[in-house]
Amino acid sequence: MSVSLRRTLVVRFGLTMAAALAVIALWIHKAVEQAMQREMEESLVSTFMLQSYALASIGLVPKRPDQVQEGRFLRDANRLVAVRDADGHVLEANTPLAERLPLDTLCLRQAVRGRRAICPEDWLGQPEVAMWGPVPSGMGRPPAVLQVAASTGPLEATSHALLKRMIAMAALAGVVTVVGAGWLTRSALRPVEEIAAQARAIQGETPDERITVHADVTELQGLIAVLNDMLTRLDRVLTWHRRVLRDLGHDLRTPIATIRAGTEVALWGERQPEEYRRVLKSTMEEVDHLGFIAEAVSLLGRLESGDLKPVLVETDLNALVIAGVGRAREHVGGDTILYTPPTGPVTARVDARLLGLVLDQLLDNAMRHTPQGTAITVVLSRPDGGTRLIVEDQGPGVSDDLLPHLFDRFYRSDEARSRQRGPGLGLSTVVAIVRLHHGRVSAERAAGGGLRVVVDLPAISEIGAAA
Amino acid sequence: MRILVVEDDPKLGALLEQGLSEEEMQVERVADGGEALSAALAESYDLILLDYMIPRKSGVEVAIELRRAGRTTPILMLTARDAPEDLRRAREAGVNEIMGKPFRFGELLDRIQALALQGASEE
Repeated sequence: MSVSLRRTLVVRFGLTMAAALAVIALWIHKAVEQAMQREMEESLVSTFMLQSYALASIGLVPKRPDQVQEGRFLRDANRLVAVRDADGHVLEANTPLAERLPLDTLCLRQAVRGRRAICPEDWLGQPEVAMWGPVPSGMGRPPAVLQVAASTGPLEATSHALLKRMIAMAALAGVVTVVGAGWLTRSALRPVEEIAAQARAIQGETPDERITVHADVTELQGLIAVLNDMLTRLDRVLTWHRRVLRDLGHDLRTPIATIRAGTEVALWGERQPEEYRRVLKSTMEEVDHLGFIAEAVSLLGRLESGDLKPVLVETDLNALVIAGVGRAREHVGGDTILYTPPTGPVTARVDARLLGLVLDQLLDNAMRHTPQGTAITVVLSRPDGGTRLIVEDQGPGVSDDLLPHLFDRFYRSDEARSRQRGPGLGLSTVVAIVRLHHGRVSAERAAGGGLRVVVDLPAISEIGAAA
Repeated sequence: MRILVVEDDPKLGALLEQGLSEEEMQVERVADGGEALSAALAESYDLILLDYMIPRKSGVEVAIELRRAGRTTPILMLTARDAPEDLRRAREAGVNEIMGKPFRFGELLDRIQALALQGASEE
């Protein structure tokens, strides 16, 4: 099941922004509501003080003019004033409606004691707030209590209207945010889609094809670099595979040509039995060689897939090298390869078939590069309990700057090679097999200028333990 | 007919030498590009049967140097390389005909005789 990153981003961003905007709207609403309440209370205090001064100076509470109706007075002035005695009886009011203001005995007692108090009240089904306080005696009137009340209905209506607007604003902003988030994610993902489109268009037919779109975008440079590195590696693998296939074709053609031509020539006329025997023997050797190539291809596949497990058997390495040198001498003449055997017996738990391939490959490489008539030297020794195999030629060698790359998987120093007796797997196969034995391969310039390849295998106990 | 066979594989080289000799051709065989160049420059042959991939100098390099030295000896190249680029390089080097491996020996003989006749008529 695929997940839409764009949808996920839009939903998450939209929800986050909507929640944030809702919180901000509620916070603003609360702050405005508190400010309005403070304003209302300050207004009540002002009115209370004015009424108090009026009582002190003229002894009367300013009344609603007769020509102003009760309802309009309430809506416009929104202030009801009542003067009460210490028992709460209304002595005077600015409008008949004020005479019916509720009596809050707690606030009354505080006012009687000389303290002012603001008390919320519920009156005629409407919320209101009233300020209570003492009125000093004067103008022939005993001490009394002044109650100044105002309806909070308009305040709450304003508050509700504000809240509705804030919620509407948050919802609208949420919608705008979702639309914006969709646009943003589309903009952000479009370069990725274009990079993917260019990557899809790369078929591997043309080497060095790389992703170039949006390579100048800082945030995408890492992704593009990773993809291009991967393309480079794939390119190298593809190149290597193509070359292996091409080389395999070359390696197969010559033995087949030998078998074909040998058989054809033999059948041209009557020959002596000995001559037929010679042709059959030659054919058998070429078939063996084809088998060797097939085995090498199989080995290559297993090395590539990493599932090749060496079969470690106690092996006489001296005999193994003698056999390998013997195979090579069949092709280059007996005196071209000089073998220096060890002073004593050298045995190790190794995969004899794989190590035989290592020797074949090293000798093949040496034979291809050493000039005709010059010797290839093979030395087997046992330094420090381990095993060392040296194959040295007198060819042109490898320059110092290329030596470290000699065993690279994709390295080939000699494009115009001669015919290989080996499977054409290259020195990298040597490295892979030796590593399976927990050994090490190194290359250096020989004293005579040729190439000296050294294979070091660990002591018997180490190989056995490692296996 | 005198033929220089340049083939580094000893078995195939021996077979070519044997088969051509049985057809009453005078065959000389070398196994690398250096020897091939020396022999072709020093002696006169009716045809050179040249392998593409040989040690020291490739077949293409041998052909280039021979043509550069003014030798017009017909060259029949035997090759296991059949990539268009390889074939183009061989033709540009002055190789007259190319046969891929594996080949029918009878066909090889036909081509050798045709090329040798062609070379003789041009001279």
